[in-house]
Amino acid sequence: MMAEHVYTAISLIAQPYVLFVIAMSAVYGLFVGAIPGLTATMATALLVPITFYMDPVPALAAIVTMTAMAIFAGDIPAALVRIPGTPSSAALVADSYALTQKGRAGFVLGVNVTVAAIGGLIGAIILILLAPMLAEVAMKFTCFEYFWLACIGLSCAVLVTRGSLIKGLVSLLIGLFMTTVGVDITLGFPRFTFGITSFLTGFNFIPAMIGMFGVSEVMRNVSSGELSFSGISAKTEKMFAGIGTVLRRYKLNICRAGVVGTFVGVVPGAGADIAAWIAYAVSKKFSKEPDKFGTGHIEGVVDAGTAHNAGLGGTWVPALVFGIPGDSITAIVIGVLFMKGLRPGPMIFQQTPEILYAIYATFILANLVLIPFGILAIKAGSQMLRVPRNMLMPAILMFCIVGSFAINNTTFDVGIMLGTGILAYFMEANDIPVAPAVLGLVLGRLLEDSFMVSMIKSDWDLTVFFQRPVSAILGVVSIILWSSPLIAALRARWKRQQR
Amino acid sequence: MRVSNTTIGLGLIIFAIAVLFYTRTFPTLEKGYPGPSLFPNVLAVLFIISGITLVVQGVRSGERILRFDTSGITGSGLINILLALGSIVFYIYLSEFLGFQITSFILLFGLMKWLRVSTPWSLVTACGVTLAIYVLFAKILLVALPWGLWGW
Repeated sequence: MMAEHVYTAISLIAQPYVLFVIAMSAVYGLFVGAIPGLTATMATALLVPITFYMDPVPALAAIVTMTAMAIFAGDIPAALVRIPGTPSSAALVADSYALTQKGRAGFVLGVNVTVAAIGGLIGAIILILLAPMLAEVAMKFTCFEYFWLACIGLSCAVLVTRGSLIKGLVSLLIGLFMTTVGVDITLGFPRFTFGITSFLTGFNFIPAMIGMFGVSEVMRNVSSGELSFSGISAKTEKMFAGIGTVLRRYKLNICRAGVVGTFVGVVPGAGADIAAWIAYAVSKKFSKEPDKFGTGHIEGVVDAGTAHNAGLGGTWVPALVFGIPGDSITAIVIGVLFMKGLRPGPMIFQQTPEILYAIYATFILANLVLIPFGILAIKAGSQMLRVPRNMLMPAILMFCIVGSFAINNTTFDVGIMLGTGILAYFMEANDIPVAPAVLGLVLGRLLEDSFMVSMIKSDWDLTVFFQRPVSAILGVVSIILWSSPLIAALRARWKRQQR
Repeated sequence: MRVSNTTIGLGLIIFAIAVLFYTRTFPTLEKGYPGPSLFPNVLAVLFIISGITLVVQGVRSGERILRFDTSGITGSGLINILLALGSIVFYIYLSEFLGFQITSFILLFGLMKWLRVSTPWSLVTACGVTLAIYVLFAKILLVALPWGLWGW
C-alpha cells in the first residue's frame, strides 16, 4: 500500500509541468532570499495568488521548493554584505562576513549551500517518520483535544516571542480578534460587519497575508534611504575546496543541528530563524573553541546553516498532523490547503495520502536540487544584490495589488491588504511581532468553533474539557504554559530576595 | 512611527471598552447563555489586561504618558510610504475606470520617478512589469483584470 502511494507521489511530481513549477519556484526563492529586506514569508504570500490557480501538488511543491531556496539564499548577502537576506540567516552573519573579509567568501558560501541541503534532508526525513506516528495519535482526538491543541499552539507562539511577552500576546489577540469578524457559528449572527456584505465571510486570509508581509515590507524598504548595494568585490571561486574536511570534522554538529532545528521548527511559532539561533547557541556551548565564535569560525556557520533549513521540515509536522502552523509560512500553507478543499489534520493521511507523499518527495527533491541551484545563485549573488530597490519595490507593490485582487476579483480585498499592511507596519515599528497575529488569524476560528460546539453539546459544563484522559493532559499542559511566565517571574523575584 | 508603550496600552483599553459596549447589542443563546458575544468579550478583557500591563510598564520606566516618535523615519521616507499607500488607494478607485494596464503603468512609472529612477529606465520597467503581470494573471491564470472604459 505504502509503495503504491510512493509510486503515485513520484509520478505526480515527475510531470513536466510540476518540474517546471519547481524550477521556477527555485529561481524565485533564491532571488527573494538573496535580497535583504524581502523575506521567505513575503515570498510565500505573493506566491499564493498564483498557486490558487494550480492543482494541490504543484501548488504545495512550489511553496516547499521556494522556501527551501529562500532560506538558504539569505546566507548569500549575510556573507557578502553583512546583512541577512532573511531573518533565518541572522545567527551566522558575524562569522560568515568575517570569513569573507579574510578572503574566504567562496568557502563559506560553499559550506552554506552544502549544510543547508543536508539540514533540509534531515528535516524531511524526520517529517516523514514523525508525522504519520503523530497522525495515528491525532486520529483519536475530538473537538476537546483540538481546542487544547489550538490553545497550546497559540501559547507557544507567544512564549517563543523574542522581546516583550506582553507585546507577543497583544499581537496574538489582534489576530484572534480579526477572526471574530463575520457570521458566528452559534446563531449565524453577523459580527463587526457594519453592514458591509463582503465582511460576512470574515477577513479574507490571502489579502491579509499579502498586506502583512508584502505591503508592510514595501513600506519599510521605501522608508529607508538605502537603495542598492554597490562595490561588492568578494570572490566566490573554489566553493568546495576543503568542504570534505569541514563535513568530516563537524559531522556530529550537522546531525545535532539538524535534529535541534527540526524539533524547534515543530514548536508552533518557532520557525527557521529561532531554529538557527538555538542551534548556534548549542554549538557554542558544546564547542571546544567557543571563544572563536563571532570572529569568522566556520563551526557556528555549519550549525546555524544546517538548522535553518532543517527547521522548515519541522514546521510542516504540526501543520499537517494537527492543522496548527509551525510558523508564518505554514500558516499560509494551511490557508492554501483550505482553499484547495483539503483540511489539514490526521484525516488527510487517510483521505489524500498521495498529496502527503508528494509533499515528502518535494522536500527531498528541493533539497537535492538546492546544491546546483544554490551554486548558480552564489555565482549571481553580487548581481542580484545590485538590483536597485527603487525599481524593485514598485514592482512588488503592483504584484501585491494584483495578487490580492485576483483571489475574488474585488477591490475590497485590495482594501483589506492595505489595512493589514498598515497594521503590520505599525506593529513591527513598535516591536510587536507579526507572527503570533498570523497564527491567531489561522487558529481563531478553530478555537472559537471547537469551544462553542463543545459547550453547547455539554450544556455549558466546563469539566468536559478534562473528562477524556488526553484532553485532560493537554489541558494541564496549556495551564502550565499559561502560568509559566508568572512562575518564571516569581522564581526570579525569589532568587533576588535570596541574594 | 514609534509610540510609547503607554500610548499603545491606552489605545488597547479604549478599543476593548468600545468592543464590550458594542457586543451588548449581540443576541444571546437560550437560557441566557452567551453566544456570539462570548469570544469577542473574552478577547476584549485580555486586551484590557494587556493594555493595563503596558501602561504600568511605561509609567514605571518613566516614559512620557503620550509619546509619538517619528525620529526613526526621515521626511522623504514618510512621503515615500504615503505615496506607496496612495498608489493602492489610486488602484482601488481608478482601476475600474482606467483599466489595469493604464493604471499599472501610471503607478509604476510615477513611483519609480519619485524614487529617482531615470526616465528611460522607469518607462522600460513600468511597461515590462505591467506586461509581465498582465500576461501572467490575465492570459495564463485567466484572472479578469479590470478592463476600463477603453476595454483594455
